[in-house]
Amino acid sequence: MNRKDFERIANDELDGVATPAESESLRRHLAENAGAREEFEALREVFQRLNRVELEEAPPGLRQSVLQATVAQRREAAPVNRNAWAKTFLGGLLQAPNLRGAMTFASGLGVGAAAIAIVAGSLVGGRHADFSGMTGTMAPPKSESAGRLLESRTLELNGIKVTADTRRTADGVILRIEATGTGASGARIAAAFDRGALLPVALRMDPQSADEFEIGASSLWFTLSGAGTHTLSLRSESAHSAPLDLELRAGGESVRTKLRTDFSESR
Amino acid sequence: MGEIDEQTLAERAKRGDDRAFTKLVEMYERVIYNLAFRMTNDREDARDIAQTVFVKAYRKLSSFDPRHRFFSWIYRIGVNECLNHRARSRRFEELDPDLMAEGGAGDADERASTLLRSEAIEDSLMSLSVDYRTVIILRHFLELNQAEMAQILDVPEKTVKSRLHTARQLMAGQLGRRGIHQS
Repeated sequence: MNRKDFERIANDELDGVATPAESESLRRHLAENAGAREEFEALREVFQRLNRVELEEAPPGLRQSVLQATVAQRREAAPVNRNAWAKTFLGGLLQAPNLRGAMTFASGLGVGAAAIAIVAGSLVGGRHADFSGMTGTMAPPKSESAGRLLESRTLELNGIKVTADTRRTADGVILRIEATGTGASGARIAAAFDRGALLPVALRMDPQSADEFEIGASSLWFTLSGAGTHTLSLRSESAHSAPLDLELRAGGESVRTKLRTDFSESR
Repeated sequence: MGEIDEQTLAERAKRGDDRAFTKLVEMYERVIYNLAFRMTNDREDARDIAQTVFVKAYRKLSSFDPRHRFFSWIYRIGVNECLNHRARSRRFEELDPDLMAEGGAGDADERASTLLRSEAIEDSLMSLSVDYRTVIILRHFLELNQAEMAQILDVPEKTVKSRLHTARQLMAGQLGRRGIHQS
């Protein structure tokens, strides 16, 4: 029995799919070859150990989270006009008292046309908006200058300039990202924030300058299609949070920075 | 709702029956969570991934072809989401050099030599490259056969077989190097 046949038949034997003839030829080969016996026993050990691993129970609340997220998805996927969006948005606010401050913004829908596009997932045309990681109420920030400035940083790469700042509000942190420059199209911006301490609650993007994007429990990334300003609101879940990581990637290169998310001195 | 097979549930869910979709989530939450957990070795990430898988499945229900098995379809979304997650994680590992030290990068042998925790077989699994890890999880934990795995991974059956053999060989070698003998 050559090496290739031995490997195949040994695996098939342990998988329970070897033919009687193959099992017999394997048995003979093992009887004559101590090295093969050792190898077969090592393989059997792998099978036994793998088959002893038990599946864990799904975490409590997973199903409920999924169902809540699908409800949110249905809302986002519904045919949209601005009034319908406002109704959904305001409904969400009523269920989230700590976000009622954002109603000021909701009442000024004219200001938030860009936000509506992304939050409602409707005005982005053929773009690949992905809400998969986003659950809960999404409320646009009150304004770009809301809150007290924590830190401001600038990243520059291949003719693209990204100015980002973090601001502290009563509810949490607002990350504002402004991209300018002739080479902005195709660049990617990624932000990673402190999971557990900060919860994404609203994303406001300029649909003319942002393409595919994805937001999760601790990260956001999006592709730039031009110059524009984008805002992410994060609700504080604890008194302190780690600095936020920001990366600009373009043409195979990347630059990074960190931005403070609370007033503590530690970085 | 009585005992209804998953294909019927999938067809109903596709037509907008949310109770049918809920039932499918109930049937698959454990395996999808375990798929994600074994792929990432991180319970929080696994939970996020599992949630994303079901939300994506819900969103894509209109494209589900009832002539195909529902479990293949949802497992495929699951595997793809694990791969997406890995790609994103790598990007953020690059963001923070501190995280690199926690073992996100490096070749399989390097990682294998620094395995410290719990069950050797699970550590050994995590040291495999993602292609090998995936076939081991699908075959041994989710108990799929090679034809089903080929369909989910969209590769020929012989590729599945070859990956399985190599993965097991690598694991046997690692257990051997760690001095793990028959128990």
